Amino acid sequence: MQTKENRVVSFRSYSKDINEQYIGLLWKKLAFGFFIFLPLCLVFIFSLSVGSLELSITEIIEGLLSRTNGEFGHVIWNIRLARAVAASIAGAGLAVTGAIIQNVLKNPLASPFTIGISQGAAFGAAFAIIVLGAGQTHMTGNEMVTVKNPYIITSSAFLGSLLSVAFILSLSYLKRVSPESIILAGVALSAFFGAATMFLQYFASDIQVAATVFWTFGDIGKAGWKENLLMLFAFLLPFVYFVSIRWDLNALQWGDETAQSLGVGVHRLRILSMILCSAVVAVITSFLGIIGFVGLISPHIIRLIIGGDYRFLIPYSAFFGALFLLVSDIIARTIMAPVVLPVGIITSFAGVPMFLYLLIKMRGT
Amino acid sequence: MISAKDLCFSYDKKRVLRGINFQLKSGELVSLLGVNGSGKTTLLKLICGLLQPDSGKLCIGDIPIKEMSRQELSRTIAYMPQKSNGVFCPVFDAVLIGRRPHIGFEVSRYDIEITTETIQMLGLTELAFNNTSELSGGELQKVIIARALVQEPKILLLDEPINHLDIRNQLEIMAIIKNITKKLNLTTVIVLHDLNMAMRFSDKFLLLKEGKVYAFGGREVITPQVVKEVYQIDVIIEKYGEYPLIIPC
Repeated sequence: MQTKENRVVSFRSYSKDINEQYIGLLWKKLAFGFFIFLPLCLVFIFSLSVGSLELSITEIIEGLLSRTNGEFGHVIWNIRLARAVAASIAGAGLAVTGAIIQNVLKNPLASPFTIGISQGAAFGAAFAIIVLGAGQTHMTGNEMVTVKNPYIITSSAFLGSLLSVAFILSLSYLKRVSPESIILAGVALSAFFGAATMFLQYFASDIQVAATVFWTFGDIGKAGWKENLLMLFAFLLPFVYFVSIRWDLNALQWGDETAQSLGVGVHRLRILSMILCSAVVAVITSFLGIIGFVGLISPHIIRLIIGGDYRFLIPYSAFFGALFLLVSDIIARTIMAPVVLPVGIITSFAGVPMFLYLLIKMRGT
Repeated sequence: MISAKDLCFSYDKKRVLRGINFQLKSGELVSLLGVNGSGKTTLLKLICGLLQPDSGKLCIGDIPIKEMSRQELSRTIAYMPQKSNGVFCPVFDAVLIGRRPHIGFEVSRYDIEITTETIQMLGLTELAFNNTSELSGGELQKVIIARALVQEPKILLLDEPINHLDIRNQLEIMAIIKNITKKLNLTTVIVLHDLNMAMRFSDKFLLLKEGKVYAFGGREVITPQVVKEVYQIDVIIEKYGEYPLIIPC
């Protein structure tokens, strides 16, 4: 027969058991971070070796140590490392913004690409190139068209993406449009910005049209160290903010009223998050062009593996986004070598089947 | 514990609450009754600070709610809305999020322990690491009540917590609510549509009619005349065992 003492002991051990199980679960989730960070590091190093000049690991190390001097230093530092860093920052930035936008708009289909932020940025860039004359183009030795004065284009792309965000926020607040309809509004907004961009292109010179078309291709190779620094700065501050509000984001998943009753300033959080996301996306898009699906897919894959806890979802989405874009860039550089494809084509080709797979996989939940 | 004086509220131009007055004490389970659209949910939202009154005063103890910060409010009042988004996560995480008003940078040992205790108190131990998507309606309601309790509130506001549940789960959830109200000396306000359930478990009854308090008090305020006035239906009230039974004619 169970005595009172026995019952107390079993209750306490049960309680200890749950605590320990929970802490064990947290450790498992932390360990998963290393599992995803490790391939990211390996792929990062591998991406330095891939290209027209195949480099071994010792040559990579030699190149890294010799800075821009030496046989491999120039290739490593000025081309491959800059490219790998750009892919990592952009992938992380797009994935994190996707995770945040999906939360604050309460829509799993939301991403910078699907709600028109990217297209808004593209329109802004086209406006800067064609109307503000920021996009003088010239042919480099590699027969590449490069866009000069990226800062005016960045600012203009940022304003373009803010236009999208303002439109979406005003729809959800002033007209109380449901989160589901926001995606539809995003589709309409994308079409609008597409038409507006075409309108500008119609009256532009051939070179300007070439520059805008070239700009919209998502291409990692456009970024140098200066751009990387700006992207890193634009990504890091919002990233720190998003990490700091991870509990608020967890609460928001249960609905606005629940979150508010848990002390979350929902309106402020939503507006600030959307503005910061648009800033990150605008800077990335203005330097690299439109890169679809990274922001949509990455958070979902992480959610599928470790759940929707934003304590882990934010950093791991960043890792996965960086990994996704690095792998896509390697494919873009090698699949039709010596031709280097824009990475946006690869992410979309890879993203669509991945997205369909996720839809089927998540059907039950 | 909670007092309202001449509380008025309107959505745009539509007046919803007109001069509400009441005083609720600790350790009381109060049923908020009235027809759909009588202002019950609005009143709960005013108490927990989700809405601001047009005029009137709402105090917790001596402190006006409008003078309390969002953080203070969330540490004092737990609110369970009528509808909650379906979030798929382990039960433990679903309950732990209730600690949000107390969490600093990261959860403390105490946050984890109180979550565990609450899970046990509501009989969810076996389900602690199950996904919320695997739970029945009754189990999910318990999880949401547990989430409200880990806030360690002094006031518990529940908006229709037993809707869509079978009779066994309704009785179980109501018994839990009654039990924790007494055990933790909470002031609990619960919106109910089932008058018999209210009669069985509540200490007091606040009946709203067209945005005004029509009746407020113990069981004695629920009379056939009051029910007729508030709900526009004829009923008879018979004593059946321990509890009065309200039967529509």
